[in-house]
Order: sequence, then structure tokens, then C-alpha cells
Amino acid sequence: MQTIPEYLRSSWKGWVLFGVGFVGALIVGWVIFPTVLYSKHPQPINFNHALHMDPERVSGIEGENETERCLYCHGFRADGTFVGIPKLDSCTECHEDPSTPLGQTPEEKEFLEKYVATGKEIPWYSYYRQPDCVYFSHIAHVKMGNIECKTCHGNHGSLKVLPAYQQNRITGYSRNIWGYRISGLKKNTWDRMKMDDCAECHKKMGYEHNNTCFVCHK
Amino acid sequence: MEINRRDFIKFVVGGVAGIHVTPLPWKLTDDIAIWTQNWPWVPVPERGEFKEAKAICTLCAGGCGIRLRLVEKRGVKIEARDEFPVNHGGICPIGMGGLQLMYDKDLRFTSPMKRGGPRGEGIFVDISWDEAFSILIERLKELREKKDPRLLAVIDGLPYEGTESLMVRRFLQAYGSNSYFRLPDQDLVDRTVNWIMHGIKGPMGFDLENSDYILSFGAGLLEGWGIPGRVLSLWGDWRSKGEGPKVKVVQIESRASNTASKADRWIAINPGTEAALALGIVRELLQRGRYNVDFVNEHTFGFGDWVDQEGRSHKGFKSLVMEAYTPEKVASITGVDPKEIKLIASELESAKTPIALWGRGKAELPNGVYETMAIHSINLVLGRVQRPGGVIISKEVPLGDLGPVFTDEKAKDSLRQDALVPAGITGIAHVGDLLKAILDSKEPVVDTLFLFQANPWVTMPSSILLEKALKKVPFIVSFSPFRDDTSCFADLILPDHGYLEKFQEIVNPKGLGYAAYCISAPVLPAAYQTKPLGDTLIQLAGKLGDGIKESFPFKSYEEALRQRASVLFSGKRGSIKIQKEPPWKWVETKDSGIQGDDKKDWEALLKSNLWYLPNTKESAYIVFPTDSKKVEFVSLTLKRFKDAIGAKSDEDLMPHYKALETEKAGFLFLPYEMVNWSSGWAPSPPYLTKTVFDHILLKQDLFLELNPRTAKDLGVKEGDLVEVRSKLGALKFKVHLSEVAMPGVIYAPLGFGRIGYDEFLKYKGVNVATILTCQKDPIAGTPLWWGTKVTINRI
Repeated sequence: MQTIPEYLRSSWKGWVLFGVGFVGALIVGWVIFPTVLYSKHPQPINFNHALHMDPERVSGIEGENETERCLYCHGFRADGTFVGIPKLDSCTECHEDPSTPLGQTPEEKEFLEKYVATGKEIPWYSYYRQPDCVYFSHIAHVKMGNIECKTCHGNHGSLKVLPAYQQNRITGYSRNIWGYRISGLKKNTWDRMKMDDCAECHKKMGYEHNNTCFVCHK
Repeated sequence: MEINRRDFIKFVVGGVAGIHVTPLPWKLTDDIAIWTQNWPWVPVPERGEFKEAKAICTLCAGGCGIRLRLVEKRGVKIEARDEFPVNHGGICPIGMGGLQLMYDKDLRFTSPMKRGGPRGEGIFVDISWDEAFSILIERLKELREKKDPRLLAVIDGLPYEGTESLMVRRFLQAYGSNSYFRLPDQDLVDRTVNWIMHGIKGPMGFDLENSDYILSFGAGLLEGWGIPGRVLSLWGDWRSKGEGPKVKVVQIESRASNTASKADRWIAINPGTEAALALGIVRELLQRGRYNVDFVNEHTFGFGDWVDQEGRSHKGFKSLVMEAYTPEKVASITGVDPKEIKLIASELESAKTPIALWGRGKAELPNGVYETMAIHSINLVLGRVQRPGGVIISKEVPLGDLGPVFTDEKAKDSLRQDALVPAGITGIAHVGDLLKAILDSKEPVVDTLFLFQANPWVTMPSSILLEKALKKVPFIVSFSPFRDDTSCFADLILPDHGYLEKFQEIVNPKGLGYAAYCISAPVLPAAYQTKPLGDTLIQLAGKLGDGIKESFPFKSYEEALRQRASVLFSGKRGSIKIQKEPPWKWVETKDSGIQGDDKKDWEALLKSNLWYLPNTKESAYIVFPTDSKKVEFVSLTLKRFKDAIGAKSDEDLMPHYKALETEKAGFLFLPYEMVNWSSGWAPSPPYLTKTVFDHILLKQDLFLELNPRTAKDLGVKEGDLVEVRSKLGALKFKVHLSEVAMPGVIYAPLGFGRIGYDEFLKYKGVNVATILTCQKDPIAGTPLWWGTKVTINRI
């Protein structure tokens, strides 16, 4: 029987181990790392965006387009600042009486008992909060730039169930900023919210001058 | 399969190669970069809705209008209000940094507390409000029933005519005590001068908005004199290159302060001789015949020689001045060239609306009464009283009172007796009298001492005596919101809300040229377990019962304020609406904004934060309520009290100069004040520590300022460590040589060497006030503090 020479056998074994190390690292980098990097936090209660965005089921949610319907709750204050996640006051405009719920879901029951009845604000996790060093004006983009909400926020407005909030253990920021693909690659405009994505869009829309540092990092 | 070293390296190399085709290293690098932007100690502003609230600032008795920027309920910025007439857009550094005083927990008493360590160490332990009340009630009941109610004493540093101060006095009276003490300040002296010269027991004001020539006898216009926001704003107007007449400022003081440096002219005067210079200037005006003859003849008494009811003839003011204040004599006293006196007289002559100002530095430490009278006599001979740009003596704010005080038999009996510490002729005893009585008396004069917004540790000269005196007081209660120095000696703390957390008011902001009442509602939620002082007093009275409760029939402090304000509304005078025409235009308000409905008027008042009554031409000259119905150069009021004040000659009833008796040897030691550093009750916001120059405070060392010539005589150089010793004690300083100091006089800033507050204030430098010696003003009883002689030794 032909035997594999010693020097060749060593090389083969070495290459196998090289491959094991290589593949192991790929598994660590692509699979284990993103799982370990983010902690998952369910939202305090579920909120059904799809239901609330349906003008046939919710009176008042009207508008010519989806953006206008979003703005019904996520609107602008008189001074032009963006309200972000609405306060309890906005919810109680419709859900004012804890004893007569509008719907019958357990979430709504919990919402009415735990928050409306006590006046305590719902401690929502914000999926899209940018770092504190970033200045971002919603009104400049939505009103002046005519950009639709979904350009950055995707299909969030049509979700029936709020996904768990994933928080980066190192930075403390939401996973939505880097994007769900750990590779950082994106197919859609709403897949990532890093600085390069802002810059790319500015360039595409002809506002490249807005890519100077102090426009956003004031 | 055997794995050798070489195989292992291949495995590792494979791993390293593999990891580089994953996002891990790139993502980690990015995350670590972001992590470094998120250190937990980096302050991040609150998120939420931006709001704005309007309020007044009561960190001093200025009552400046401020605009508070809030994010949700958190205050993030304080700015001045342009439309608010009191400060017309000006604000001082302490007022701007006020938010730090609200949120810094090391500066505040965060809940009721009792002493948990030796007196003066400032160690306290939290207790509940119930426990705090029960400790105090038990003590007060026992004191009232078993001992003498007069043994309850109060040191009141609250704004003088404010509702809180009225409630404090009411509480004391209903309890049966007359042991009420105020902190001596220029306001007290101004009120005394107003009373003995004009017959008006009220504050004085200066219509600076209309003055075209400011002759300032040491008034630190840029150091925080009067209402700092107002004066800083005015200074900007005076110096603006816009149209309108240019206002000239002449500063008279020994040190080249900021005001002196930026004035049109600085006159370096021997410290403490300002009265002689003022009377020298008066003499020059009289000699030239360039005084207001009509005013002097029609509206003053004692200008010329006079004859009393018994037919004895007396020397008048004119004779006194002409004889005793010749230019040569004044020059020898003051060190000011006679040519300068002539120049000032010429400038006063040619100015349309000149004014002479007094009050050294921030006017927190008072001038002498005779000295104030002497400076004011320049205004009087020029007829600059109740005139645009002049001195305003009548600034009545027609607020209501709090109703009758109910005193039970116990209180009546007690109040019939003399005060344990007698007040002088003004009827107001000050804290120096109290401390002296505590130290000198063998019988106890205080059992329980209440401190209200009072920090004599820094605001009173000779405060080294305070520590000794307070150690003899069995029980001290502080109602301060701040861990101030004097409160460190307290046994019990019932903390007040911070100023922006409660209803605030100032009756007649200090030095303002027209009657005004500033008030604002709370604009911040209480950050800690504190209670508004007014409500604490109402609850305390309620729990004490025995007639004290009946004197406080209010449900809340707000109700007491509203009761007083309703009388203001019913008078229908003045305006609760800020008019387009500023209040210093000497025209009547057309629309008072008062509707006659208390609720609506109260809301309107809280919206504008101001009631004011402009002076009008009709208020120009009034009948003065003195014995002679005129302005008295020779005070007949003082004549009535001549034995009490030790008046022996005609001169003692008139403005005159008298040198302080000082030791011959040693250097004169004078404190100075800074606009960016609090030397009063309120702490300096920690931000301001960074604004103090390295030649004033470096780490823990405070600098003594002396002229290079003085330093040469002493044999000291820049940076040397020296000990400065007065007869009260010694302090250590580093030496800073500067031409701003007068040769032979040494200077150091007030407000340092704190033993209370937080790490940014505590033990920074030394407290100059501790070793300032003082004599007693014969009329107001206030301290005369500018004659401290010290020795300096290098160590």
C-alpha cells in the first residue's frame, strides 16, 4: 500500500486544521457574534400598527398617503420638532376611559389597566434613536424633502406585532442603526441608518453640501 | 491524530484569516468607537418637548425677569427677558447659572435632616417631614410653656417686605417673641437715611435709566451693585455707539475695580473718606452758586442756620460745609486733587440729569448712615430728588397685609417685656447685636434660633465671632434650601424649595427707580423632598395651635400671596400689564390691565410677573412727612433721638465726615466683590469656579492683591505665601502684585473660604469676612467695616 509521505501527511493535516479554524471563525463572525452582540428586549406591550393605520377601523386616521397617516400620531409640535414616540396623552385621545375599552385584546386590557388608569408613561424602546452626537430634523426631511416615512423606517407602519428591541451591548444603541444584516449590506434604503446612508441619500438627492460635518454633528 | 505546534499555528492562522472575512473586526471597531462617545459621565440633555416658562430670579433681591428653557420638565437654560422692564435683557452670571443650584444635590438639602456630626461639620442625616415637625413642635411648646418665648430668635435674610418675611415676623409675634434680627445691608441704611432725611420709611431708588452723569462713590456697577441684570444692561446702553446722549460714569474708589477701569474717569480716593469728598463737591457747588436754589429754599430744612423752638440758634448745613470742607482740607483727607473736585462740580453743573450713587461694591456690606447722607446731599443741593434721572424716595407698593396677628395671653405678656437684645432707633436689630449679646451676656438670650435665607458666615464682617456665638446657642434650625455655611451649624433642617420650584416675589427690587412688585409661579417641579417655606410656616403654626394657628388662616402660601395681591388690584393703580412705554418714561400707564376680577387679575399678574407704578410729573415734588414737612439737612428725627445716638453737636444731626478710629500701625485691609462670584447667601454655581482667574484663586489658595510698591516695602514677591492678621484672627494668602491696588492698602475678594455647599466651593481660599473688624454705626447700628488694620508676615 502506498503510504503518504510524512511531509505530505503533515501538510494535509495542517490544511484541514487551517480549514477548521477558518470555518470556525466564519461561524463565530457570522452567526455567534451577532447573537451575542445584541440583547433582546420585548416592548412593554404590543402595539398593532397595521390596525391603527387602517382608516376603516380607526376613525381619524385619514390622509392621502401613508406618511400623512403616520403623522397622525408621530407628528410635529408647533415649533417644528418631531414628537417621536407619542406620549400617553395621544393614546388617551381615543382610549380615554379605562372601563370601556375600544378593543378586546389582552394588550389593550393591559394598556388600560397598567398605563391609562395610572397615568404612567409606557416605557417604549425606540428602534430608531440616533446617537446623541447626531442632529436630525424630521421636519426638514418629511416636509421640505418630501421623503416618505418608509424610506427610512420601512414597513414598520404595517406591522401587526412589534418586534423585540435589540440593543447593542457595547454601544447601547438599537440594532436598526447598523441594520439587521451583520454584514452591513443593504438592499433597501431602510435597511441601515448609518452616517454613510445619510450621505448617500444626500448625494443622490442633490444635497451633497449637507454632508459637511457640522450639519449633523453640531 | 497528533497535533503538533505547527498544526496549531495553522489552525490559528486559519481562524485569523477566517475572522477577517466576517464583519466581526469591522463591526467591533465601529462599536468601540461609538462606545467611547458614551461615557456615563458625559452629560446628555434630556429628550422631549422644548418648552419655555417665564419667571423672576430671586437669588438676590433684584427680581430680574428670566426665561427658562425646559425639555419636558427639566430646566436646561436660563436667559434674561428683553421685555421685562426691571432688567431689560440683562442678567448676571450667577442668575444665568441658577439651574445648577436647582439640581446639584451636593448644594441642596435634599430632605428634612438632623445633625449627624459635630456642629459646623455639615454632617446631616435624612429624616421625614413628620419627624422634623415633631422635633421642632416639642421644643417650641416646651420653650413657650416652661421658659421665655423671647428665647426663640430669628435671623431673617429674606427680601424685606416679601410675604415670606412678613410670615416669619408674624410667626414670631404670635409665638410671643420680639427677638427678630436682620442681616445688615445697604438697603437697611438707605431706609434709615430715607426716614431721617425725608421722613419716609421705605427703600430708595435710582432712576438710572434717565441719568446722564453717574457719580459713583464706590458703587460696583459692574460688580453686581443694585439689580445686576439691570445695571449691566444699562452699562451696555451707556456705552453703545447708537444715537442719544452719552452717559458719563465717574468712579470714586481706592481700587481699580472693573467699574473703575471701564468708567470714563477713575478717582482713586483714600478708602473710607468718601463723605469728605462728597461734601467737598457740595461746597464747590454752593460756592459757585450752582445749586438748585428753588428746591433748597422751598423743600429743605436746615440748609441755612436755624433757630429752634427754645430760641437757640443752630448751625445749618451750608455753614458746616463751607467751614469744614474746604478744597485743601478735603484734599488732605481724601487724597483727591482740588482740581478734580472742581472738575466734578463743573460736570455736575453741565449735566442735565446727574446722580450721585453710593453703596460700596455690591452694596451687600453697608455704608455708614452719615456717609450715605453726605453723598446724597449732592443730589439734594442739585434738587435731584423725585426727578427723572434722580433719586426716588417714594416707592410704595400698595399690597395688602396678612390680617391681624392673634396673640394669646402668653404672647401678650411676653411681648410687653423689652427685647432681650435691644434694637437701635430704627427698631431693627441686626445679627451683629445678637452675636455680641450671646457672647457677652451671662443670661441666655437665645434658646432656639431660626435661620431664614441667612448666611452671616460670609455676609457679615467679623464673622469669626459667629462660630463662637453659635456654639452657645442650644438649638439651631435652618430653613435654607442650600447647604450654606451657617446652616452647617444647624441641628435641624426644614428645607425650603429652590427658587424656581416655588412662588417667588420681590417687593421693590433693590435700587429700582419706580415702585414695582415682581412675582412668579413655580416653573420647575421640586427636585427633592423639600417644602415651600410659606407652607412650612403655615403647617408649623397649625401644629403649634395656641393662637399661633389663628394667625395663619391660610390654606397655602399661594393663598397668602393672593390675599395681599387682591388689595393691590383693588387700588387700580399702576399696571399688571407690561406696556410698550417703559416705566421709566415718567408717563402714567393708560391701561392698568386690572379687570376687577381677582382670579383673572391674579392670572394676569402671574403671566406678566410684574406690577409697577411709573413715576409721573405729579410725583416730582411731594410734601415730605418729616417734622418740618421738608427734606431735612438737619434731621429733626435724629434730634428726637439725640441721646440714643449720642449726638452732642449740630454736626451730629447733619451729613458729615468722621474718620473711623483705626489702629495706627498696619495696613488697611479691604474686601472686594466680583460679579461672577457670590458673596451673599446664594452659592456660586459650580460653573463659575472656572471663571475665576488664576491670580485670584489657584486651587485652594486665595490671592492677596497688593501694589508692587507695598510689596517692595514688605519684602514680598508674586506668589509668596503670607499670613494676614487682624485683631480678630489670621488668614493665609498667596501674594499677587497688581497696580489695581492702592499703595499701602491690601485687598482680597469676598465669598471664598466656604465651609458649606459642594466640592467646588468648599475650602476654596479663605473667608475674608471672618477677620474684618468693625465698629457700630451710631444711627443704624450697622457695621462700619472699612477700617480693618492688619499685619502681614511672609511664611
